Amino acid sequence: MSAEPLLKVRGLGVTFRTGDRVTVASQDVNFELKAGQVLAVVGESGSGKSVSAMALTRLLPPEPNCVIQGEVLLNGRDLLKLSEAELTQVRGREIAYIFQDPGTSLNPVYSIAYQIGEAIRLHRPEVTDVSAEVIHSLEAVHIKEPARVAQQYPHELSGGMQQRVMIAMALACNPKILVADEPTTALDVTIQKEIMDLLSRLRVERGMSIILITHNFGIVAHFADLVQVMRSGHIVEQGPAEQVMNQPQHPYTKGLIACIPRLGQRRRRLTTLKDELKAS
Amino acid sequence: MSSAAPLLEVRDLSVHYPGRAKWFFQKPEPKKAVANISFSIPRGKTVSLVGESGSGKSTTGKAIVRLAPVTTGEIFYEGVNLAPLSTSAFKPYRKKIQMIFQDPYNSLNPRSDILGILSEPLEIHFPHLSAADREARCAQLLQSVELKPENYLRRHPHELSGGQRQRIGIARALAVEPELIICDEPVSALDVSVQAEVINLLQDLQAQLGLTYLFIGHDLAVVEHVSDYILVMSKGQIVERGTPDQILHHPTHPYTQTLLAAVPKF
Ligand SMILES: Nc1ncnc2c1ncn2[C@@H]1O[C@H](COP(=O)(O)OP(=O)(O)O)[C@@H](O)[C@H]1O
Ligand SMILES: Nc1ncnc2c1ncn2[C@@H]1O[C@H](COP(=O)(O)OP(=O)(O)O)[C@@H](O)[C@H]1O
Ligand SMILES: [Mg+2]
Ligand SMILES: [Mg+2]
Repeated sequence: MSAEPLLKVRGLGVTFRTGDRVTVASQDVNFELKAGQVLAVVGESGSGKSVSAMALTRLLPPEPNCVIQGEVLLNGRDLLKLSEAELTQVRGREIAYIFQDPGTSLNPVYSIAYQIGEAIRLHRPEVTDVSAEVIHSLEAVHIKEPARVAQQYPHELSGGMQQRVMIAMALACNPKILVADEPTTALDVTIQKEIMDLLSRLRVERGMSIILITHNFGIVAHFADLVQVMRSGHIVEQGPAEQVMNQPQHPYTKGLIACIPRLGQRRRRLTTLKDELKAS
Repeated sequence: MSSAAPLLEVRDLSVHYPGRAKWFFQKPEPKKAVANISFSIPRGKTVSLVGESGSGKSTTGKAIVRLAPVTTGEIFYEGVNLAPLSTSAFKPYRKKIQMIFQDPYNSLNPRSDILGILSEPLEIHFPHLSAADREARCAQLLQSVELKPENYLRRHPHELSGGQRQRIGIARALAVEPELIICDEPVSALDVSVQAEVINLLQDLQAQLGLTYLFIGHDLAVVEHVSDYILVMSKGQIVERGTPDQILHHPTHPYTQTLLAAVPKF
């Protein structure tokens, strides 16, 4: 791991304007990420997690409907100052995204081979044998029969398999950073574990950084180096995962952690965020 | 479990969905979603079904309220076998047994306001109520799910958060004064903070109204918290059953062990 951060985000903010409604979706987001590190972003829905992650590569509506402030320095280069054409090169090639519902991100009318192949042709024109690279990318996400799966269509695959394909597609371009936006929320617990194990392995094998958006604290504890807790567009607390999980400082973080039912505790009543915020 | 007669008893239930043939010359293979399961639920208790998606949990719940076909088997409610009943003989049980879903959004009429949504079951099952009495009852239902009637009666489903919609789904189920509620993944789509509120609400209502729950879930930590008894389903069958303690500390089926291992601990 190099000492110099791969990504430095300074004063990132996103404001939406629709008609005369102004929504400040995120504000004053600051963090640094080194190569190979996993940053988990947690918080309730609507707190600005996805919007902040999309803002990194301006994957949002154009101005004036959406205004992005701040700096996103990837290896010292401010992504927010790049032209749309330059950003297209960054997306996928340097920062790739996977989303919660792979079913809607995959195009139903094309085979898996075609869709991964397109991503490779777009971002890695130097690759000559695209079909071999497609198979290779499916092997990399530990799909057992890559040649067979490559010929299939999205609807023929299970949810877990579709998410593997999305990861394969994202990784086919060897990104430095993978943004995984609730990648397992729609999946069964057993499949969730398989996907998270896969991501851990890939991160070690490739030295890739991961920004993981999740509301599952269990996953955070197992997987993240750093944690960021968002509430109504602000980071209320961030730091090393162990510290934030074991000694949360902000009442909101304490509240979120206290809400979670734990296996084997059999509390008579679950603590709610309201109880916890009232008590503090 | 108590020795009193159970409120609900399911015996050898199988549900086969009509299948689709892959090729025109093939005979369609029926989909065996639930295969010969038996269980019972004592009055006032919570029995849970847990298992991965596609294991037949929802189908089991739906078969009880006739949203899925009963291929073979018996469903006894207070000793009466519901399976062979005619539609009209079944009608009183539509009132006694209600079902709530993961995201009630799909089942809430988007054009109707909350007053309209809660009035509908009242009009069917309590036709004698006057309009004023109906509105008063709707207000009371909203209070029972901890929503202020003056803020919600005139709102529409799309204006509500996931947690608020689930509370409306629960209020609508309560409208007909049921005894048994089948809760199909009621908190699976909610944030942890909202999940805790909805679970507490379901437990408070159970205590106040003496409700019986069949709770369907896939998060073992949630299921363990709410249940008196747990049934583990895999591929249409119940592969293990026991109290939360037994399931947690002495799982015998490998599938239960996999489910337990997959719950992140911290
Ligand atoms: N395209 C958009 N136009 C207007 N508001 C938006 C848009 N996308 C998101 N928002 C708003 O930004 C806020 C943050 O949303 P989001 O980042 O998706 O939350 P999270 O991912 O934490 O659930 C929300 O209030 C949401 O309604
Ligand atoms: N209406 C239907 N027609 C045909 N097959 C169905 C239908 N509903 C569910 N199934 C199938 O039955 C099996 C059990 O489904 P379900 O009861 O929904 O599982 P769970 O609720 O445990 O996820 C699955 O294989 C599913 O695809
Ligand atoms: Mg989001
Ligand atoms: Mg289901």
